[in-house]
Amino acid sequence: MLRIDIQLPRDRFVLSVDESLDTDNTWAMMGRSGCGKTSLLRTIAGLESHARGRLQFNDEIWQDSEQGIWVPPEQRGIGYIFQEARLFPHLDVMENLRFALRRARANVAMPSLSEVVEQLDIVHLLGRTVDKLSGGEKQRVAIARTLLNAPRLLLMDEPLASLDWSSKTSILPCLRNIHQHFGIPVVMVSHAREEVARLADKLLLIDQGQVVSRGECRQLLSRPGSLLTRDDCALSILEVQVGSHDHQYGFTELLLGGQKLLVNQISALPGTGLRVILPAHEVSIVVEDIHCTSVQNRVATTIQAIQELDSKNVMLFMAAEGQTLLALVTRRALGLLNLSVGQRVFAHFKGACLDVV
Amino acid sequence: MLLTAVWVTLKLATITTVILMLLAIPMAWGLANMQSRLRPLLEALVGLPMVLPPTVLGFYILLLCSPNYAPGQLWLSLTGTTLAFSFTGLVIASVICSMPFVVQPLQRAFEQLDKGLLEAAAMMGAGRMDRFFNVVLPCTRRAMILAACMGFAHTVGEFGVVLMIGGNIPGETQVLSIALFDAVESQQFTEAHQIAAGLMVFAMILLITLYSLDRQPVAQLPLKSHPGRY
Repeated sequence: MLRIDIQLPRDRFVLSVDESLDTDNTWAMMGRSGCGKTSLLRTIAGLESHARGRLQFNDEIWQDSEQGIWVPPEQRGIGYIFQEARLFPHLDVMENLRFALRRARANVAMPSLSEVVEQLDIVHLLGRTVDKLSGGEKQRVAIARTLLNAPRLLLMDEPLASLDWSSKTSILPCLRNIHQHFGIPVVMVSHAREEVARLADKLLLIDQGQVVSRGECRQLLSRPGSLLTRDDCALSILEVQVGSHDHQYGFTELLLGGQKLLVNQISALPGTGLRVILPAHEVSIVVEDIHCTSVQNRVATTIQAIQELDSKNVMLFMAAEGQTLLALVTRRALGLLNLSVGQRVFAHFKGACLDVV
Repeated sequence: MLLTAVWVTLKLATITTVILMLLAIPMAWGLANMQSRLRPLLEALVGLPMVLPPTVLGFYILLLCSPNYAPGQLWLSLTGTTLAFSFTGLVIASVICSMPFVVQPLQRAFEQLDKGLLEAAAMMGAGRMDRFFNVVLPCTRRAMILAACMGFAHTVGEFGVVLMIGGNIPGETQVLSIALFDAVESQQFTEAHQIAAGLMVFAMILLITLYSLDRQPVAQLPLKSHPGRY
């Protein structure tokens, strides 16, 4: 349990947060740039010396301004993945890793060097100097370095922000693995919905230094009226189970309650619980149950809410098997199909546009 | 006589450089990280020897070294000798004179050091000293070498202060720059030529080394390199 009760004056507002985060979930703190989310993360790490208040991790008090307690960052046992890799330029890749290994904390879940190096696919980089690495390689080494330090809590500040798309897709699975594979509690900061949808379970929405909403990532990201569903980048997260693999056509069948989704073949075993990320603009609405289309995914839903976005578009919130799907449709289509709340419609989307994590 | 002067000069420059580095590194670190309004005052004090005529500095140091003032008095009561016109006095004077040439490159380097690296090190459990010795020093090693060379070279090249404090005692305080002056005064031009040319060559070699060091990428500095293994 991470107990946060912190005030930190900023230029235009006072960051003021009073929350408890359980360590069984991966937490994300989201908000626009300048909302104070990075400052909050730095305060937890002990890098903001002006922060006042109280911080407690399990039974350890890291900060209590009233009692004059302040544990310096190096004694908190935190791993921090910064936006930039921050590798030491005077050391090569292996020496950077050794720097972390030599200072590793006594931790039960101590990951081994070979395991981490393999997970992050940096074996071939070990002898290189830091300035010869690409952005994505640097960040992978930085993540490996942090893991080898065996932190008791991992903080990540938009770890993918500075990377191109191909680096992102190679690093995201590694980050997703940290919580599951190494059992380290994770708190991350991001402004990107895709990043949060893939990595986090629970979400704190921050605006002007205050927490404005808190809850399940899946629900907050697809709730009518939320800040996160008010533009065309909205997405929905579906919890699914792996059904079966079709090796002949190279796809995997996922089970969404009693309905089926088809995606490009993945390696997970049947029965595994997975998360599917579905961007709202990839979903089209069909009123009748038609089969004669190349689009393979067809989910029966009920329209729950219709929310106006701008002069052209509306957002549909649809329930399917107890979960919410978002669809971005034009006002014209809404009128032509005569869609209304409570109506049963079919959501169509291509398997290729789904992100399975 | 010439060899004695060379020996005194090298001894003086070496001892001065060692003392300078020991004093200047913490001073430069302190100045680079100082938030106080006193900072310009302290920076001015350290930088003073760069703008003052060496004779002015020499005059004041000579006064302080004389037994009429507290520091000189204290030295006399402790050691039974006077600081003025002694090798020790010369070392003290040289340290003061060459201080800005060592402090300033170090301070610039410390200021330019990416503080993010120190935060990263702290998050990996490295305490203050650990960060200083294992991140700050190695990341600024080029500035360290530069500062040490500048201190050494400036001490070798110093004339005014040395003359004021040390005088011209062969084997004790007569350094090369004084010996040159002495040789010219007494019209021993062969020796004057040897010293002048020697100092010239020394200065050129040092500067060429410094400038070529400046162009070399950090990663290629031949301080440490071994293949990564695990």
